Amino acid sequence: MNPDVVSAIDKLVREGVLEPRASVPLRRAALGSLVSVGEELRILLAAGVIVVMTGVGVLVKQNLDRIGPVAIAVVLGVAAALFLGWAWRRAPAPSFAFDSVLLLGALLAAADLAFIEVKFTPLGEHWTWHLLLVAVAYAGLAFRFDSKSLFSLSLTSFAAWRGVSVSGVATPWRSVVGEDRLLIEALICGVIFLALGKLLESSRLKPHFEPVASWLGSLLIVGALAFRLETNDGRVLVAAALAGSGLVLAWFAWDERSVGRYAVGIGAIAVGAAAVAGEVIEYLDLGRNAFLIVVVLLAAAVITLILRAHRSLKASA
Amino acid sequence: MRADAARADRYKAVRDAAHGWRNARAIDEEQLRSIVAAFRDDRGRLGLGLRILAGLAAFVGGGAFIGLLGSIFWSTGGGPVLACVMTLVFTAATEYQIGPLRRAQGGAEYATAVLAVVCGVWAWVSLFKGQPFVLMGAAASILIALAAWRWGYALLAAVATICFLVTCSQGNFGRVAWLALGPLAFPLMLRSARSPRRPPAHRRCLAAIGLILLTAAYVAVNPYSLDHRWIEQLAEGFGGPAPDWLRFPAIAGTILMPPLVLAVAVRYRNRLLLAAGALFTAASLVTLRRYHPIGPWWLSLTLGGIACLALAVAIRRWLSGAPARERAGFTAEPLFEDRRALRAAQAATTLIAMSPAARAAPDAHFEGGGGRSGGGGASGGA
Repeated sequence: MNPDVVSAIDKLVREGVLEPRASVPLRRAALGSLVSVGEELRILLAAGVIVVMTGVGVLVKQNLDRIGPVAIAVVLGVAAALFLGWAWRRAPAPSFAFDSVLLLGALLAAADLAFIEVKFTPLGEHWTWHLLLVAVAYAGLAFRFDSKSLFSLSLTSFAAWRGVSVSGVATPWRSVVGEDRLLIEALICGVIFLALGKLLESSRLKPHFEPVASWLGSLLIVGALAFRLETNDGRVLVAAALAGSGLVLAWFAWDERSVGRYAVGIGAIAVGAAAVAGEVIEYLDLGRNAFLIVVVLLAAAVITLILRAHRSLKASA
Repeated sequence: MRADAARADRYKAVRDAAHGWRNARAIDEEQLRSIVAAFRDDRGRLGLGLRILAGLAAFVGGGAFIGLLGSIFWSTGGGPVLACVMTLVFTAATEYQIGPLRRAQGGAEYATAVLAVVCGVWAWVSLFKGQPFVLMGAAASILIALAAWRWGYALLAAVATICFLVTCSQGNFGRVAWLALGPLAFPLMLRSARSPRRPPAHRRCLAAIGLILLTAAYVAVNPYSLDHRWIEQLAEGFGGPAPDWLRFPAIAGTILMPPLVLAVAVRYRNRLLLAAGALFTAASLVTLRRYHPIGPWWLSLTLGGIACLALAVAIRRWLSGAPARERAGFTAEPLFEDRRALRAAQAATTLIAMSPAARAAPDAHFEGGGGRSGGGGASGGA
C-alpha cells in the first residue's frame, strides 16, 4: 500500500490528468486491495530449481556405491531429457514456468555429463574439456530459447573450463606460477567476453545478450587483477594494469552511456592508483599517514568524477 | 526528517508509480510527463552504479580521514574528543548534503550518515567506559534509531532494532523479551508502515523494524535456537541448558507461527509478511527434519524443491483461473511496478548458485609438459 500514490491519483483525477475509469485499477494497486504475487511465484520456482539441484548433488555424492553409477547416470539423463523435451515442445511460446524447467533440464544434463566424466572417464586426461562441452551446450540452448540465464551460465562454464585447464592443458604461459596463470586465463576470458558482447550487438544476432557478456567480461578482468593484488610479487605492475584496464573500461562504458560499467571502471582506477601509491610510499618509507592522505584524496577525486559524470548525463538527457 | 526531504520522498513514490503505469501502458507518454511535472524532483539522485561507487568512496575516504586524525590524536589521549568531533563533522556533512545540496540517493550522504552513527557509538563507548553493557546497548540503540528517524534510512532502523534486541537479551529473560516484542511487528507493519502521515522513508524504517522483531520472535520460539542457547549466548555469563518445560511451547510455536504469519499476510495482503511467512515455513520444515529425519537428505531436498515448483505452478493456475484473474485481492499478473531490480537479483542468485567454480586443478593430478600427448600436452588423470 502506498498512501502517497493514492492521494496523488485522487489529485490527478481532479485535475483531469487521469480519467476516473482508468484510475480505478491504479488506485486499487496503490491501496493494496489488489496485489500481484507473480514475482514471488517466480522466486519460488527458482528456489525450487536450486533446491532440487542441491538434492541431486547430495544424491550423487552419498549414494553412488549403493545405487551404482550407471543407474544414477541414466536417471539424471532421463530427467534432463524430460525437462528439455517439455521446453522444446513449448517453445517459442514460453509459459510461466518455462525458464525454470529449461534451467532445471540444462543443469541436470550438465550434472549428468560431469558425473559420467568422473565415473567413466570417457575423455581421459582431457577431462576438463567436458566443461567446454557444457558451455557450448548451454550456449546452444540459450540461443535456441533466448535465455539470458543460460547464456550467463555458458560464459561462466567457459571461464571455469579455462580456470581448470591452466594446469592441465598446454599454454604458452605454462612456466608462469599458478596464480599468474589463472590471472592470464581470466584476462583472456574477460577480453573474449567483451569482444563477444560487441559481436552480438553489432551483428544484431542477440543484441540483448550484450550486457551479460560485457558485464561478466568487465568483472572478470577487474576482479582477477584486484584479486592478484594480494600477492606481493609484481604488485606495482598488476596495480598499474588494474588502473589502466579500469580507464579503458570507463572510457568505453562512458561512450555507451553504461553508467554501471563506468562506475566499475572508475572504481578499478581508484583501487589500482591506491595500490601503486601504497607501493611507492612503502618504498620511500613515508609512513602510514601518507597512504591515508592518498586514500582521502583518491576518494575525493572519485566523488568529483561521479558528480561531473552525473551532471553531464543530466545535461545530455 | 526535514520537511523538504520528506516531500521529495513522497513525490518520488508518485513518479516511480507513474513510470510503472507507463511501463504497463496504463497511461500514455503525455500523461507521464504531466505527472512528472506535477511531482517534480528537486533532488540530486544518482543511478545505482554511481551511487554504490560514491557511497564506497565516501565511506573509505571518511574512514581514512578518521584513521589519519586518530593516528595524530590517539597517542595524546584525545580519542573520545576525536570521536565526538568526528560525529559532529559527519552529522554536519550529512545534513549539508540532504539540506542545502538537496541530495537523495547519492550514496555519499548515506556513507557519511553511517560514519556519523559509527563515530557516535564510538564516542559514547569511549566516554562511558566501564558502564554496564545494558546501558551501552540501550544508548547505542537510541542513537542509531534517532539517526534512522532523522535521515530515514531503513538499514539504520534495522541495526538499531538488532542492537535493542541484543540489549534485551542480557539477563535471565532475554528469550521472553524477544518473544514478547514479536507481536509488535503486526501493528508496525500493518498500520504504522501504511500511515499517510509518515513519509515513505519512515514507512520503510517501520517495516524493517517490524520484520526484525518478527524474525527475532521466530528465533526465540525455535527449538534449535533453544537447544543451542543462541539468545542466551549473547548475554555475559549465560547459564546452562534450557529447562525441559520450555520444549513443548517452543515446538508448538515453531509449528504455529509460520501459518499464523501467512494467514495475516493473506488477510492484509502484505507481501513482506508473505515472504517472512514463507521463510519461517522453510525454517520450520528444516527444524523438523533436523529432529525427526524423514528419509535421507537428498530425498528431503529433492521433494522440497519439487514441492516449491508444484506449489508455484498450482498457485499461478489457481489465481489465473479466477474470473478477473484475481482471488481475494491477489493476482499473478504483473501490475504497475517496476521489478527489474528483483529480477536481476534473481538471475544473479541463480548464476552464483549454479556456476561451476573457476579454479586451478592441483598440479599433483597431472604430469607436466612432455607427457603422453606430446611436448606441450599434459597427461594427468582426473
